[in-house]
Amino acid sequence: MKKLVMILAVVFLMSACSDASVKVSKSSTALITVGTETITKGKLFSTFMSRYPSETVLKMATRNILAKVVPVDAIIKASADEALASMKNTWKTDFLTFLTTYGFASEKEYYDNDLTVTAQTNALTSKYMTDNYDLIVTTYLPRKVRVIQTSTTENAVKAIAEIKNGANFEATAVKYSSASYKGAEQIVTTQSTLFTAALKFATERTVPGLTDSPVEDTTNKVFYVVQVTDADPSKFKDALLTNLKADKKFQEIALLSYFKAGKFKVYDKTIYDEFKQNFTAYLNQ
Amino acid sequence: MLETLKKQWFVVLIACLLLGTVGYFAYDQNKGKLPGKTAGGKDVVFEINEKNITADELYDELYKTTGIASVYADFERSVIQQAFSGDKDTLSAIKLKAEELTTNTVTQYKQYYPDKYEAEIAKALQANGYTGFKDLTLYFTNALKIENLVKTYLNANMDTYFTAFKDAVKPRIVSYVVIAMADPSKPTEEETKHLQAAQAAWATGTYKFEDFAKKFSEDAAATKGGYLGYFDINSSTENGGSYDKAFSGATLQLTDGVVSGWVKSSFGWHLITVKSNIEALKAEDAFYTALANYDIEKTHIRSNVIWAAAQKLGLKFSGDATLEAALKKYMNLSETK
Repeated sequence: MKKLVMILAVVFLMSACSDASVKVSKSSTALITVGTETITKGKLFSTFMSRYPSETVLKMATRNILAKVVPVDAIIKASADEALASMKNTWKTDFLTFLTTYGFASEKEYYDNDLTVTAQTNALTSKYMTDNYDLIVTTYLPRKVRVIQTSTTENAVKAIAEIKNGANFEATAVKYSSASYKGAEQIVTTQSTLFTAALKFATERTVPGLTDSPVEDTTNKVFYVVQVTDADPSKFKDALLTNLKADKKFQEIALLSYFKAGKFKVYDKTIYDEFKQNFTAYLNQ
Repeated sequence: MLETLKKQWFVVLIACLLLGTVGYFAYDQNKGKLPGKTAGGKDVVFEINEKNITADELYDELYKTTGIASVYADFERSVIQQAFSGDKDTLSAIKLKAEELTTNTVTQYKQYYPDKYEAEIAKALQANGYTGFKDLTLYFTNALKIENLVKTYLNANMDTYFTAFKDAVKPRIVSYVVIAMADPSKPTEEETKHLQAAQAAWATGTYKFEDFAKKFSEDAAATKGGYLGYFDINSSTENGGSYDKAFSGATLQLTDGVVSGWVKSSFGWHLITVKSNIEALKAEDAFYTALANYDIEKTHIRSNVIWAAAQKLGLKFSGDATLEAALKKYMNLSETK
């Protein structure tokens, strides 16, 4: 019976468990004493934890992924060197002012914490794109398209008729377009942000072709003439990869996949809640 | 054993039921709770690629990135809470003002974020080293205490700071009269009559400025004898302020106690008078705020006040000279302070 009571007591104690909250070791170490108050390591850690630590956690986890998947090598260094030379050339004598303005204590800090990380991030995205090329193609349906945006349905109808009769697409765009882009060929995916109303037509086509009628964007009250010039991504693979690597959305998609593969898991409630609110896609728990 | 269990079957049954109930209770209480993890005796914050990142590593990283701002936030709070020793009336005034500012802030945030105003306020407070929404009044209390300490410091060091400030920004306390006009370049007949009557009355020389403003001025300040408050070159629209260029120009030309002639602005016609003596200025909190912020990149008055107060209380860096140097640098204090 005594044993049973003990078990019940333990279970009761367990039931009092709360969400995990991390503590720094040697938390009572004094840093500064003012009058009768002491600022300890533990107190400072509490202040740190009240100032959005999730952003730093995200950076630390990303650094771990970059170091594991795309460690700094000669190619990464060359890329960072090139970026540094370019920035120096842009800012010339104001380069030091640029560093100070953006909060870098030295050129080395800028090189290590920004340019090298950017080069690694690009390499990571590139690796993800290459390793997952087939998945990307089937998921995000890349197409090569030309688009004319018009302010009236009449102009869009006229443009379609003229193109069908053999008129040059870009020349027709110059004639009818109400937007800054004038029908130049470009690569789009389901994630593109330009002319979203026209994306459905573009990405769902499996062969090249022109819209039979204008695609209406009811939100912005404009009309699109869309021509898919190439629906086979294998024909423009290099251009597609270059395009996607520079796309912030795909950079995040890549990073998210490595967070998932790395089984990223948080063990502190404050940080977990912040992730849930601001970076929920990164959580795998 | 089995025989005993058979004999005590009722006790065993009750015990099983009890165990089941407690077990379910424990499960229910812990359901959805975030589990913790330790590695090598240290709390783990997160893991990725089978690597545990501990709270110590996060502390080091945060210390490198935003550490000194957090150190300063804690340091300032410690100093303020101990250094401020105002009398009962001052403390009472600070309490009331802090409560008023809290109410106003909550009202404003409610307008912009009706559903999450507490969370938004908490974010702003956390960025300043406070815990959350419940610290809003404490935040304002501390801010007002600092303001008060700065005021005391400036009064004790007025000779050091005032001359350059006075020459540069022409501080003054302003009172004015306005004979309002919708378009002063094309006054209506009635507006012209008002102006002429006021000009004639002032010309008699029988009115004190305050009484004249109460009788003739045509806006809300009339009830206060035309009192406008603190004014300097930064009050003019020409320097980013909100006051009419002609009105500001005339106001800044005046010497202490002199009343201007009639001045035309985009609002009508004015008489203006100023007090620019130090005693009059000292009666205005806005004067101290402007003085404390003047040439702040060089004077760092607030930092000086906090540092001096800390030293008076007794300041010890537990032998960490690097931390002391970093804090001084953050506060823009020279190494010799």
